Amino acid sequence: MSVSAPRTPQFHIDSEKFLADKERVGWHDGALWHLRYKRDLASQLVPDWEKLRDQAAAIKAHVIDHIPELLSQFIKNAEAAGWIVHLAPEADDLKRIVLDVLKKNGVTKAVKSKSMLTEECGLNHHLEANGIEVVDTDLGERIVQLRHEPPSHIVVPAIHLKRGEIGELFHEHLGTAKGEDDPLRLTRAARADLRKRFIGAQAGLTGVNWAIADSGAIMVCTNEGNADLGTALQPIHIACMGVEKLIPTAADAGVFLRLLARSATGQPITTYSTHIRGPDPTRPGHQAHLVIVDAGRHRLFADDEHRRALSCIRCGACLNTCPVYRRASGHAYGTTVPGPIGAVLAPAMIGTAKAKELPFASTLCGSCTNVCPVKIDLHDQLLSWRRRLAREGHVPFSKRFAMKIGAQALSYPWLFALGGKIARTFWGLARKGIPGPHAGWTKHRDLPPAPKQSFRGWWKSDGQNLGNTTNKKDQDHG
Amino acid sequence: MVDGAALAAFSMRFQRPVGSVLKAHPGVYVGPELPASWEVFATSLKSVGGILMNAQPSQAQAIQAIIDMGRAPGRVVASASAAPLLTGVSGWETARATTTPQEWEDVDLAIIRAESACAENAALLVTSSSLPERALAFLAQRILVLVPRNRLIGGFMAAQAELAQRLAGGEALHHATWMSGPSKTADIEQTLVIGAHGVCALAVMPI
Repeated sequence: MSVSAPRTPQFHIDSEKFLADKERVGWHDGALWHLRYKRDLASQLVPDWEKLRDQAAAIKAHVIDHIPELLSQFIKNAEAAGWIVHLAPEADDLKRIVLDVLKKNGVTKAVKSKSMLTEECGLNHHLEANGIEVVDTDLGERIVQLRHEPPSHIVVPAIHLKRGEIGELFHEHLGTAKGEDDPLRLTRAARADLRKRFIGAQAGLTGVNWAIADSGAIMVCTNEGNADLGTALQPIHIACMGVEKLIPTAADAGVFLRLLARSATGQPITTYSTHIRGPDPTRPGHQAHLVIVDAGRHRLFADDEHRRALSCIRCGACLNTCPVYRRASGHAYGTTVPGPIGAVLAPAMIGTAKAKELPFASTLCGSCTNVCPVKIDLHDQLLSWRRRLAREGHVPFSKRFAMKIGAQALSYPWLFALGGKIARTFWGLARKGIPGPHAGWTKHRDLPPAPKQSFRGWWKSDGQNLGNTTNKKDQDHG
Repeated sequence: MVDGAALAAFSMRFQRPVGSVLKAHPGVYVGPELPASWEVFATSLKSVGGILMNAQPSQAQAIQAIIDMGRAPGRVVASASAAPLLTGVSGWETARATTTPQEWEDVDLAIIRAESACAENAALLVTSSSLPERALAFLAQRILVLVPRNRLIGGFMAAQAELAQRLAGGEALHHATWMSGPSKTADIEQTLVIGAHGVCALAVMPI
């Protein structure tokens, strides 16, 4: 069983659920900041870090401009190596193709390693509805699968859960002792259970980190070894990739391999970084399928302002550093990819009407842009989505009205001065929380104390003598 | 074979308009030359949870010690490429060619031979040429990786560039994996646990 395909995001409601538990919010914030800290340490050890980011961004920009050429080169080499290549223009095509392959081969049990693409398309749900057992093998994904939840993070899917909750879950499903919450023993229990499933499965599904055009190989990277165990044992391998995963050569993959794990967890490279090309020649009858998916990517591609977001390598660094994500958690976003990159992808992928809240779930502090290994200008992209949402009429009246008032006040000095006076009078009340429909705004924001006078008032009484006073002091100290 | 018309329709969706200025590939990135130093390798390996073993007092004795370290008399299987390096060592068998790799499920220690190692990130390269018995390296509980002392590469750009040439240059490689330390996860409360689905311990011996 699994969760169904992504819902319509309602950030202001779903973030509230997580924020209700203040102790957990603080803990979640800290856990993610720890990942960010490890990323900092790792990146500082690499002398050419900034050059690497430039190179990665330039390779991705080249790829985005040359998808048709790279795609035909890749398919030619992939087919020569024995891959059976399928094209899936829509999410439904992906689901149909994978189900077809599994049904044709009588598969009833499949294992799957982490793939945000299939998550996004709701593949598990579709296969299970058609009688195929799909077991997620990444530990974090297995945990959320057993809880019938979507992942809350793209690299650490169960980061929103505490060990005690996972202990409970494993007690119920894997028979660990009641109250057992030691991460080592819980991991060992999952290892033992999943090992049986790796061995018993008739097919292995994986995602793809990069698809190498000049050799027809794909790359899959994990720390747990689950993608390798999920491809080296089963008679059928089905790899699912978004079309943006193409890169020209395996040498280019070297650039991304040096960036990915350092940005994600602070490791110098993922534990297992595997290239696979076609079926395994040591196992006669072994089948290797490759499904190349669009599923809305062409809409992002067609958008001049946001095309660059296709460069994302799903490292999660922008999530880990985001002050909003760290406090609201991934489920608040209601999309498979949460956080800053999720809020940039969603309006193009699922439409501005559905995703209208997400670009506002940001402080625009720019930290995401600073850590992005492929230099996506995330906070600028969020801002540009806000502009478009406003143009398309997706911004609520209250926000538009407030902006209009603001524009007026800034246009007339007398109005600005009057507004300031009124604001200073009522500031004390506002600090206790605004009543009415906009109460939410002050709920998680602390207003600073109001100044006693305006800047202009201060300038008149004290400010303009400031220079003289300073000079006098200087003379005194002579 | 992918249908030509279907491919054309799919590609059309990702075609930049005629007259667009398309970004050129930035060229091969070489990066700074990093020293091919076993000391640097040892530091990297330690950071990813692996152990560096020296072939002391002799290669055979050092390997024998690792085999005998197993608590129970477990199954020790060497890949075909590692087997010739184990003269004078006892208590192991050579992996026979198999179409059912599941049979390595009960292996306690796998002994394999890596083609090269990288100092920057402690990654060890195994491919379908050196390790056609791929599943062995993931099903075993522990692994000993023998790597030629003169096949240490300093930086990962150079290491991957070498592999890239082999992949593109017609060598019929089915798989190639960089292994950096034992399998691990931090999916439960960010607590690092060594031994997720792959091996629980990894030792490297330069030979």
